[in-house]
Amino acid sequence: MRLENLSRTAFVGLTAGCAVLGAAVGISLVPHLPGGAAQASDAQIESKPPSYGGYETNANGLTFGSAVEEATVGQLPDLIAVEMADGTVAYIYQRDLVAAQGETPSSPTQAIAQQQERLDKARERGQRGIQAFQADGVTPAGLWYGFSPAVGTVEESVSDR
Amino acid sequence: MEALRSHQRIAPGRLKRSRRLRVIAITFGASLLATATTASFAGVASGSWYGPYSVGGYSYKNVATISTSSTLDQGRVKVQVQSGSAPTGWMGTEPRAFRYSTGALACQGPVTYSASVAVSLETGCAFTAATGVGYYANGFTHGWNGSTYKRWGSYNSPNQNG
Repeated sequence: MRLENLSRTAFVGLTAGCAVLGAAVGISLVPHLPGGAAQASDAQIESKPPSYGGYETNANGLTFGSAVEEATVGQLPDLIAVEMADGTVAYIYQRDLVAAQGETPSSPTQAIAQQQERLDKARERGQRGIQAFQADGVTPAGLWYGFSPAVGTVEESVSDR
Repeated sequence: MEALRSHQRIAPGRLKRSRRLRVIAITFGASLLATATTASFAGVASGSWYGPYSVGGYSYKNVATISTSSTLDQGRVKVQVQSGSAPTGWMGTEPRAFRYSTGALACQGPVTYSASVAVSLETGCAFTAATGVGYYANGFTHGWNGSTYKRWGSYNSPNQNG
């Protein structure tokens, strides 16, 4: 059967088949592309977590840097680096993040009660931003909306297994 | 003259074939490109499980996952009991996501506690990933030890492009 002799319907079918084949080849290439979806192997994990060189200290004596460094430094910086909506880096005060988190509950019963209260408040008020600053901790840099209510909560019980 | 007439008779068939080949090639290429690029900039990547560690008589492990897609980007963290079930409120998760190049916090969720007797709990925080930029997840899990909550960090997830 020659291509030019195919009926219009058969040609459309053949083209659709090629589109599917192209998609299949595309998906098979994904793991080999940079940033492709991957399940980490131990080797990937052991290829070191990123390090941002600890914290710096600004003119006001406040430390600033990435919250990831807490694992190596032992404590959070005074000013935590955050990504703003436009992709720039700004800083929020550690105390503001802690305040947004709320008090650590003193029992599981209180934890559940606080959680419900927080959800009710969030529904009522909507999402609130945390004031961000430049590294000096003084110059305002807008509101950071990255502290968000939990999404996609999945709780599995024995019966789900 | 006869040769010219013959050429005119053949040409439409060749033209049709050439056009059809071009349509098929373009469809195949576009489909491949669209799938590969979309999928490479959107996906799910989990780190290694951390643990087991013991809190309040229960043995736990945790894992961080980064998830990017065209609709929702998330840093996620999951805690799981090794055997049996933990009582209500005994497990907590605190997800976070970071931009790889700067270490800036892209999102952080509040601590969410298990609202029932459960074997695992997983939550995420939402952010908007910049296209082509790498992010990873790294969260905390919390466990009740009978008198206070203890916090355990997860390993980082691999990098995933937005």
